[in-house]
This record gives sequence, C-alpha cells and structure tokens, in this order.
Amino acid sequence: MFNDLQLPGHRLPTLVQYCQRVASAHVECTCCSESKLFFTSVEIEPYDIAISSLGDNLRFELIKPVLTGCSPETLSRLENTSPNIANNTSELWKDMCFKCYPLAADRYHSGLLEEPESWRDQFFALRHEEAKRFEELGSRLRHQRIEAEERKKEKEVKLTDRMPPSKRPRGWQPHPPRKTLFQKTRTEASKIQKTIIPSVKLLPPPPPSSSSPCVIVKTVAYRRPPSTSSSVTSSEPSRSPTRSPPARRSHVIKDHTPPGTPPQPSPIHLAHQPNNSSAGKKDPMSTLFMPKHRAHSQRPIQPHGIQTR
Amino acid sequence: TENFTQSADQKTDDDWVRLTSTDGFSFMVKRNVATASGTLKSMLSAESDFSEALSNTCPINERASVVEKVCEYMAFKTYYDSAGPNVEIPVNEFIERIPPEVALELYVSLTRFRRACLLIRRICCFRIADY
Repeated sequence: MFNDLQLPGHRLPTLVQYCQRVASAHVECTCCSESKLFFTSVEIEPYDIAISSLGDNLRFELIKPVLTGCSPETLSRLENTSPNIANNTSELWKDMCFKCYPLAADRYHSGLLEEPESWRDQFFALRHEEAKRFEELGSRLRHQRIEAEERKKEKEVKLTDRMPPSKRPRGWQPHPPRKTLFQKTRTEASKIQKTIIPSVKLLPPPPPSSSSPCVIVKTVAYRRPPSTSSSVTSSEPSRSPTRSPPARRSHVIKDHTPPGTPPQPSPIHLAHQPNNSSAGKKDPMSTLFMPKHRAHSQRPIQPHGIQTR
Repeated sequence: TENFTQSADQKTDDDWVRLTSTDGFSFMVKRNVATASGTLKSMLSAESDFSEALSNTCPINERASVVEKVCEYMAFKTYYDSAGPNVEIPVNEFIERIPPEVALELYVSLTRFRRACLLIRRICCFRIADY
C-alpha cells in the first residue's frame, strides 16, 4: 500500500527505504533487551537499541537487505534467536568470508579451497586461524622487544657502591721517604754532570749505603791561565786569591747575575760567568759542587750578611 | 463518523480523513496528505465505491505506532513535494523520527500490506470489470 508513496522524480526516499535504513543501523547495537514486541526488542536507551529477534513469521527476503550489513556476531545471534532464518543464511556467510578474509577468497576462487559444507563454520575456522597467527606474531614481537631491552640495560650506567677493580697496579706511594742531605747533593751533582760535563767524571762513586752520609771532599788543584783558583769549593772565577771570597763572590755575583733572577748560584747561571769575567776560557770546575740552596751549603754563614744563595 | 460523511460533490482536499488502527486509535489527516499514498487515494476517492470513500475512514490493519508513522511520513512527503526545487530537503530528518523498535515492524507491515493491497486492487478491478 505504501510502497507507491514515492513516484519517480521525487526527492524523498520511500518509507520502506527509511525503515530499511533504520533497521540496518540498529541491527548492530550492543544492548540486547527482552523482546516484548512481536518483531523487535524494547527500547531502553534511545541509542542502545538492538534487534534481538526477528520473530517467526518474517520472510527471509524481506530481512535480507538488513542482514547483509551486519557483523558476524549479530548474524549469528539472530540466527540463534530466529531459527527459521538460519537455513537461508548460507549466502550471507559466504559473502562475509570473502569480505573478511580476501586471501582465503583468492584461494577459493583459484580452486585451491573446495566448497565448504557450511560457510558459517568456514568463517569461524578462518577467524580462529587468523587469531592464532596474530598471537604467534605478537609473542614473537614481544620476545624480540624484551631481548632488545635487556641488551640495552646491560649497556646502561649502573649504580654501585663498590670500587671497580683498579686498572693499573699502584706503583708509587703518596709520600716517598725523605732524602738525606747527601742523597740530595748526589742527585743534583749527577744531573749537572750529565748535562754539562758528560765526559768528566770527578765525583767519587756513590757509596753503596745511602744511610751514612759521610762527606768526602776532595780538593783538586786546577790551574787556569788568567786566574788561579785554589779551591774547588769556590765556584766563581776569582781574579785574585781567595782573600775575601765572600766579598769577591758577592761582587762577582752582582756583576754576573742576570737581572731579574734571584741571586742563586745556580749551575746554569754560573756557566755564563766565565764568559763575562775571563777572556773566554770556561771553568767547568767552577760549576761543580755549587749548592743550590743555602741549607745545602757547607760553607760557614758569612757575617756580612751577604747571601750566598 | 456522521460528521465526515459528505456527498461526492463536497469532497475537497481540505477535508479531514480518518485512519484507524487495530488497537482503537484514530488519526485525522488532511485528504491531500492521505492521498500521498496511491492506495489510500484510490480507497478514498470519490469515484470508487469503497465504503471508505463514503465514510472517509480508512481502517488500517496495523498497530497505532505503525499507523502514526505512516501518517507522519505522508505529511512529511506532502510538505516537501510542494517545495520548490531550491529548497534543501532534510532527508535525514525523517530517519531520526523512526524509532528503531518500530522500524522493522513498519518495514514488514508495509511490504505485507502492499501485497495485500495489490491483491485487493486486482479483485476490485475484476469486480468492476464485471459491471
């Protein structure tokens, strides 16, 4: 009666079409309530309605357009509640298989898969297979991820309160034993000897035990043409006899000490002195045994107050 | 119903017609709205000999919810059929007006009724042809 409500050229869909649309839209909803009406379920919430049963008198051709758009769960549910429809749903299940599992569809079309007895069972078997494959892939990925995380953790900086094993053996001690006076003098003399007089060896061999500082002073007469030096202990070239060594020395020191440096009779400085004082002949002996520090000096402290440092 | 009984000359589109449902409800609609349906139109037309035409009442073998929706749709359609080509028709508006619990029933009843009406038409044509 009302199918002819729409004539060709009209812009409105027919009431039948409207009903089909609404029915298709609501066949999927999750809420499922007691069916009190003959065909459909009772509404609880406006947007949670679902069709729970199709009744016994409904012809399949009528409901087919509504069922083609629904999910497998819904179709299965409606089949259970309306058994008269279940006989005719084979085509629907086949379409659903093809839609959800295109690979299997390809295999079927190419002849590898044969026609199953029940497309419904086939659909659920395919679904089970896919779930298993996903689970397998998921577990593999998880395993790989855990391994990668473990590797990363090994490389991380770890907190600990224990000292790591030392890489080098501890070869030195914080406070080496103090050297005696004789030892210090000896080391300095050997340094001088090595740097300036590599060939001349006048130092007595070092005593085997360094614990007994017995000083051996050897006087060697050394003749120098322009000036005479009577004592090895006098380090500067004295033009006159050692009458007033301190005065001469101080004088010499004043002349020859390079400006800006402390008046220390350092070996290096004294090496230049012969150049200035004498005609040019070096007096390497003069650099011998010149103590660096006043504390090392064996000479008596001069009363004039002139520092021999 | 006596109020609605009129002579054939006085029937106009502005008249009201009554559609009744199985559970005792009556729906008054304008004639031009009711004639949006071809079947109802033929049932109510002045030329026909149907009792519905004489009484301007059309009993419909459906529940009131279904009949109500049908009337609503006919009114909706009549309104927008007469609208100009530039007017935007809210096609989806009517979808919201169909509650889901009625949709399936309405759908089935429409298709069933259609078959029944077609059958009646054939019978009527046959009968008229007899005359």
